[in-house]
Amino acid sequence: MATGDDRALAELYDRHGRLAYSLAFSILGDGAEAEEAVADAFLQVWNSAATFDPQRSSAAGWLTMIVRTRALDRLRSRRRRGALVERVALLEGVDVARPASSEDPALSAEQRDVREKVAAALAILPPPQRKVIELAFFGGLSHSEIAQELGEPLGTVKTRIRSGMEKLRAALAVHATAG
Amino acid sequence: MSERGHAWAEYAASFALGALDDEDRIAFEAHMESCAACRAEVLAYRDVAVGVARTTVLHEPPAGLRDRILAAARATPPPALANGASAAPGEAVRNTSVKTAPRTAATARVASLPEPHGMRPTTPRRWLLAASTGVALLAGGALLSERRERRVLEQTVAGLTQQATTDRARLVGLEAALAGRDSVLATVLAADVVTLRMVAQGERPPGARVYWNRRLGRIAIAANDLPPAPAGRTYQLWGIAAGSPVSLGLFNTAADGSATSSFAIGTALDFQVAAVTEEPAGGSPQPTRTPFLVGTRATR
Repeated sequence: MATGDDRALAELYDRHGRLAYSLAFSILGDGAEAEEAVADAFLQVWNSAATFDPQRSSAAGWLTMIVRTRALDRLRSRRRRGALVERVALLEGVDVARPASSEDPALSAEQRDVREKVAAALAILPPPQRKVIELAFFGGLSHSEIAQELGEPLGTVKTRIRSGMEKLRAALAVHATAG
Repeated sequence: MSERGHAWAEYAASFALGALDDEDRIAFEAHMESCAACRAEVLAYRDVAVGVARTTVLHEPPAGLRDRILAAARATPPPALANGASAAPGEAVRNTSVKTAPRTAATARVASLPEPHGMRPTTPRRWLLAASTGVALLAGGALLSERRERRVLEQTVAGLTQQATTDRARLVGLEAALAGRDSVLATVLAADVVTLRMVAQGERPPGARVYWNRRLGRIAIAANDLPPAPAGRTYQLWGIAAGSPVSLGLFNTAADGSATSSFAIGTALDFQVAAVTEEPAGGSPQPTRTPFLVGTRATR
């Protein structure tokens, strides 16, 4: 194994390890489990890295989705719906960074920039829309599961997700152009 | 992007979030097979989902995690190339679908879509990519693809080496077969060759002919209608002089019941009768069975 290969993985970790761990932590709410999920995800990246084409996909985006999947796998295998509901409560305001709290010196300037923009966009969403998006993304819940959790009609949940995502997309596009 | 008015468009955002229920997800994946617009929508919303992931409160990873990952990676070299399609970006989109279900061709195609051209200047993907995929990481990607190249080359070389070995073995086999033919021909095509026509004892059909080139000290046997000897057995040709059998050589027939073999027996040996018995593999010092083919030297 050439040292260059290790270096690529090490660089990937150095750049994105903290955000990866934070994502896993926000999904699982448990440090030890988050650590396992992140290790799983990086090894999955490592094992399929030969097929990764940086021209076509952002490595960070790829890694992010793998971390989310591994973390949700663990969440489901835990089968603790009670814990999940707690997470739902936490998502209300604790786990998702607000613009003011995203000033973290450990992140690169670009990463801080992204966080601020997305967090700002999330913050301007009507809370019901933000909540369904967060339940889907961090909680791994489907339309019907969200409807059940919240006691809302299925159609309402679908509409909120779609509206919220459209607004986020538009806000990010505006920011991207402006920035 | 004809987002409005497209009945499926409402699925893209939820698909990217992994929020579709199984039935909807399967239907939407089938639809995406033939809808480039929806595939592009999913890619765009996937970037939004990745952005949402960025907003989590930061936690410091355990100190040993980096070393642990690197050590585990060193212990498990990545497998060789997957077949063809770039699986990695596919993984990313597939992972947006939270239910574990077989990956469809549609999701694979979404994954391998290039950046939508018209959206490039404004899509979130652009700044996300710029923000999170630095030069160093791209260099890492280059290193990874060098490794991929090297693996292809190594596999090619290994394949060629194996082919060469196979070819060489085949050549050796052909040379041996050719030498055998030559030897049979040299034995048979001589003016003073002695012929023994062997006939079956009893009702068995096989026949054989023995050609004895006394000057070369070689004999050849051509047999026909003789089933191959059973497993662990062989046919043995004997020369019988003054009632005493001497082994001339071992042979077996092909599936079609024929055999052409030649043996060096030296120029000193003399015999009047040739016989064939079936013996254990490797032959016997003396016949252990009754000969089923016997031939007497023709007088000249």
